[in-house]
Amino acid sequence: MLSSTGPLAAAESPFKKLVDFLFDGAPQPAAVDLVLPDELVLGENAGAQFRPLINRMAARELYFVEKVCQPDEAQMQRLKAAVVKAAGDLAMDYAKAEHAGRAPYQWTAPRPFLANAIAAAAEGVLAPEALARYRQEVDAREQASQDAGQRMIVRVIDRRVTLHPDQYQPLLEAVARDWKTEEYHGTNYFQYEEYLQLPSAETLTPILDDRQEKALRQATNYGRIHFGWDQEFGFNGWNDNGIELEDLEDLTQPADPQDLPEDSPQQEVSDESETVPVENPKDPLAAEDPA
Amino acid sequence: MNVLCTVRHRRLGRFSLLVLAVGGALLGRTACAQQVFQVDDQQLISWVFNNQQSIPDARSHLETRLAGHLEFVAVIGDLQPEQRRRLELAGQGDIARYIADAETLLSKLPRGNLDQDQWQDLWRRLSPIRERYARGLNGRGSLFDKALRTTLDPHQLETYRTLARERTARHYRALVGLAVADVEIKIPLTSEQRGRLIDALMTHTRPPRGQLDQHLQIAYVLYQTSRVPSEHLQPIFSDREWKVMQALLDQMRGWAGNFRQDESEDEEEDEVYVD
Repeated sequence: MLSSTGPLAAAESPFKKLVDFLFDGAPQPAAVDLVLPDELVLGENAGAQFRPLINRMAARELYFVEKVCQPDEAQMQRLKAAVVKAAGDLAMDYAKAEHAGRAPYQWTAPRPFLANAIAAAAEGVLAPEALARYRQEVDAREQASQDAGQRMIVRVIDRRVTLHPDQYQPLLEAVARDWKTEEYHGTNYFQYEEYLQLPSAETLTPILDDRQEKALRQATNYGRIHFGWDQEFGFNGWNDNGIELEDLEDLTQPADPQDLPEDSPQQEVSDESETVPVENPKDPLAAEDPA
Repeated sequence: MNVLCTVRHRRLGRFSLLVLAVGGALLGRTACAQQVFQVDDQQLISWVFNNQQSIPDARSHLETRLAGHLEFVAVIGDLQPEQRRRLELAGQGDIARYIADAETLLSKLPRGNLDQDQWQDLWRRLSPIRERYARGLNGRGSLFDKALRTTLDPHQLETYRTLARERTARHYRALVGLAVADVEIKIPLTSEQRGRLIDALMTHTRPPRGQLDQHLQIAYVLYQTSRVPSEHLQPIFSDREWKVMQALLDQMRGWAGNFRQDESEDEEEDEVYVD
């Protein structure tokens, strides 16, 4: 009486099956595992759940290029269009990665991705000196982040094995040589020492003595810890409310195609923009700040 | 007729099963509403001894750490065998004392199924000994610390303290770098700003006493930053950035209760911690 057949039977509840069993319902067909096609999962709104945070990251990257290069309004519009497109591409990339079951630490790091999109868009838009300065600052920021992680790794090793003062610098240099950026993204990772991926034996053995290697083996390690994607890339709550660009339009609006950079590396500079190099960058918003 | 009776009996039997199943589920649901925690000896040992699986393992680990500390003291260059022996005995004394205290505690802790209140009480009782392990056994008040002062001559002691302070400074520099990287998620910084902020924090903030809860390391540095006079920090940021930074520091001031025991009380204190 309550039975049904066909593919929809797979959606019936266990309670219904129990009732059917108790009251001589018709036998239920076997459930069919359904694999949702990509078209259903990665549709038009794929990655929408990632956009709010990606947009915030993108806004801060725009703030950064504005601070370093002081582009004019037209230049800023070109850069904004590029980062809006990049933000959309990144959200789709995350949707695909999530659908494929990849762990967040294997996803594309957002800040370098967005910064590279800005740098690519800035070719031919900004003066060469300004672009070089931006790339230098982006590289320095990335290097500082890696340096912070490397120092933390050495700190953990030192705490476990007690390094001789003369071992510290060689170990730091060895950790830097062995560094895999894709393994360490955000700062949260270094606050869970039992889950840290320490350098390889090939890296450590030449520097540590037998006592120290024994001490390292005795220390607890549970394997890699996995965070949600936001924490993986350093968003841990108190740094969510950072610099925002209130005067920009919603970054979810589709980019104007004519503002997007061309594929050719030799871009024609627009007559509307001025690519005057700025030798001594100042706070670009200082004149506008009412305070 | 017999067939009809059989069908009716089968349905009654199945209906009874249904009643029993529903009743049992309701009883189980009531039990599950109050969470129950299962605790055994192995877990207690792991919690008391920082994830070591047995007391002999824990003792071995502590002895390895003591050996490391002795090697560190020996860096001063002229540590005599008798001095080293005295320090080792003192360190062994600290280990023995710790394990005795831990075993006494373990004998008094409940096992089996614990309710929520018992679980919270368990962790309240575990916290001091876990904290003692995390801070290291050779710090202020330990037999090892006392032996250092009485065993090393003034020159040796000063050399040791210098080396220990340098080690602490390297460790703290790592924490500061990490905290600044965290701030940069919020406020993108230029190289110049980053360098100035790191310098300001290394100059105007203090490393923690002993060892922090590892999950609070960044929070500690940011809390310390919140106590730095603004004239040392504000010039590093633009007005707009400073507003964001101020909001963060206001938030971090609220963490004072978490770190009171981690802050040095005496500017002139001469003991250093080597973990």
